[in-house]
Amino acid sequence: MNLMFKITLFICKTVMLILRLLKRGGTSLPGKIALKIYPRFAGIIAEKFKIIMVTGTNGKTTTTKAIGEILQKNNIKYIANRSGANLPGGIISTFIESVPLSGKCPYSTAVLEIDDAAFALISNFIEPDILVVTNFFNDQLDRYGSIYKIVDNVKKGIKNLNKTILVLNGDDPLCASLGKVYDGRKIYYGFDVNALAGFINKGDGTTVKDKTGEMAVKGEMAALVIDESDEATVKGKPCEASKEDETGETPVKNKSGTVLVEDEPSETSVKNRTGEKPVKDETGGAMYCIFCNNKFTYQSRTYEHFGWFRCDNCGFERPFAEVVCTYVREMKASYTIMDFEVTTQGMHASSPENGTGLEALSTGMTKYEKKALKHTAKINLPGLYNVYNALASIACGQALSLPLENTVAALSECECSFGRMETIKADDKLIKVILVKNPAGLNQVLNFLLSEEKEFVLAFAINDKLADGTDISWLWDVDFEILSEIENKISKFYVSGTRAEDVALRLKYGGIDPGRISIMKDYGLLLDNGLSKTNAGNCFYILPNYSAMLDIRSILRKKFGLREFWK
Amino acid sequence: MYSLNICVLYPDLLNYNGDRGNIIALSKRALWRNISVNIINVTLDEPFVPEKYDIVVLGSGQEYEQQIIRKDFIDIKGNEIRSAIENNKVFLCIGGGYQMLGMYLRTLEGKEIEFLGALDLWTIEGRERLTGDIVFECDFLKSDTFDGKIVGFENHSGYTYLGEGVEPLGRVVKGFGNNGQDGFEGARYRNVFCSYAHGSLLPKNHELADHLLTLALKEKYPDFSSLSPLDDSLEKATRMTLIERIIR
Repeated sequence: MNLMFKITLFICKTVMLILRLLKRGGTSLPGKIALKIYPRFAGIIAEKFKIIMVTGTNGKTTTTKAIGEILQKNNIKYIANRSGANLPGGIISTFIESVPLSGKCPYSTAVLEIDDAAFALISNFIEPDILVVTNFFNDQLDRYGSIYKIVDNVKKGIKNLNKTILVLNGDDPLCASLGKVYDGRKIYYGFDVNALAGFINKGDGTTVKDKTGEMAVKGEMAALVIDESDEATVKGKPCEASKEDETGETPVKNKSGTVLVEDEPSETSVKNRTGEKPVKDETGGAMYCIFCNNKFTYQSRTYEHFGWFRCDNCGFERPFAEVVCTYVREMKASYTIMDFEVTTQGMHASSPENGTGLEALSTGMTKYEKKALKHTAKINLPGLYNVYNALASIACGQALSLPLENTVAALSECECSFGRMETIKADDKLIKVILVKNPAGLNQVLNFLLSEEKEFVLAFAINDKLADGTDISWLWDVDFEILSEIENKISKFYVSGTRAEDVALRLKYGGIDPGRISIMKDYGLLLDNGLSKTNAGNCFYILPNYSAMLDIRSILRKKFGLREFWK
Repeated sequence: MYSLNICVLYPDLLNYNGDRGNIIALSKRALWRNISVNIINVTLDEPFVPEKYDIVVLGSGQEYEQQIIRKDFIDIKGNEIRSAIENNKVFLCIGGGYQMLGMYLRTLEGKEIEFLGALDLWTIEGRERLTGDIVFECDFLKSDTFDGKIVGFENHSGYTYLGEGVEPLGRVVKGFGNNGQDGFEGARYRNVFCSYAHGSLLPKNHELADHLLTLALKEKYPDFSSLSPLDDSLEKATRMTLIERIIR
């Protein structure tokens, strides 16, 4: 460590301490100061770490958290920018906090969530060992102008990399296109063609024929089938994926890998979606080839623009995925159970002492031989979007050569991270706060609410401050219409935040009786009223965007003693 | 019973910035008055048949989508769109859709991209994006009960200028409007209404939504006189809260 580095570290640590004493968080300013004083600081402080970066539009925080859980299961100590401080200042502050003045850091691994618009900049001074890219969606266009500019920007960053392993969402064409510009090692993850076979509701018009005569499932998770049994579990029917797609580059299935879990046929009841259909059945996304502008044909779609896409013009298609969700067995309000396959190339590097049969299978593998191992995992996070986040973290575990059973165990114990979905106990009721910041994310949360079993109270808190994006027009791109399906389960609607009226109006035009919606801009009153309308044992859901979440959290902290947000 | 056919152009491509809210607002406000609505989605390679539509909606898009649509819009659907406009069909065009009705877009590099040329207006790409809340005043909407003020959100790098025969949609009270210089926002020609305001434009500016519905119904049904009133207190509250915040 050179002297300049030591001085900078000392100054920044002091600033951080002062900010903490003033209860100002200090999650980003110390890093900004470091960049100003000594631009090479970031590269030096990061060089002793194994670095995992997670970027993309949605799911960064959850994926970062899930990767952290996996590391912990493997007794790997790590640092992370947990509070969503994901711009350069926050990243460098994370290192400043962890590295002592002596320079001897007890941690050797860093898991960092990176803002997608800031990745290119960060890649100039820190090269990650693994880069996970979750997805690209329209988000805060007032800030960035265009989704394609963001993709291009991440591409620019990737061109700075040499030794990095890329972990990419293969089902997202924009994400998969990143792999085309990188010659190094890439691991794609995604859903198998028939993974959602149990959930596709052909009776509701969401399955349509496109021009090429192929069946394409339109809409996002529109096709969920809700089982009307007491448990209201969303169930699936086992599929026979392996018979149908064993051609070309599709995953090797069940040939040499052992099926660790048997598929038990489960009952499926089909409930047609009632109520009005959204006027538009495709939300914003990249349905057109990023390379040649031709419209993709989809063999299957999971939601939004995710799926087995193919451009018939230039041949760009969903790449072979090493980590694949082959079948979603069960989706409940708090977890999902899925079957997945991991294709390993060459020697599996897991340690033999953890033998559970999996390693036994991998012994005797010769190099470059592909083997698909089937597994089942309970993902202790709600919603299909979190299955993607789980797949990303599994792929990251593979990139780190960590034993798969530890990964699976970690996912089953995963808890929702800061703000993304947080449960607070209020006597005999629960407050659940879920961060929503763009149409894709909010659509997923609304779909998740469809699986809520009990009656609940629902509040939205939408601000238009700079941190949120000042343009809230995306509210109209969200399918609030689906709430009318479960309107009788929602005992009361509240709207809050600087744009409360806009949300109320959106709900009105989405089919909710305005008489059932209360505008309540004071968060304290919102909490009191919402809880008073919530029955014992039931939930009060609050869906805020970013700055509203921070404000609501600070009130929750006072009322219920939540931990400080930087811890 | 009255009915309206609303054609949504390129819904699979021009589908964000909340433009869908305009279609929802038109549909709902018709349905609430027992006017039936038929939504017809028309995208690339599909025929545009003006006789079938009463209102045509063209949403905003990024340069990427414009590039995909351009050829189809000009070469395949161009003549029909032009004739529909001249035959007084009601059009609502936002952002990129607005620009594409004009003559051309001149890029920063000086390249001129030819557009439909149905309206005498043109767009020049500027270095600075014009982004933020916008309030503008429409004289044609003013009445005893409405001051004509419309609110929305603009986000464009194209600076648009109006030629002969094209009226502005309104005068800017706060924000940038067409180009940030001449104080005009949007364009109006026959029954074509163009604006840079998204966010969405029609739900909280329900007077404009009703104006479009009325025009379309009058074109279709010579005996039609006026729309029945609705409870618009939430629409008004939403607009007024926002305008007060912006103008203050």
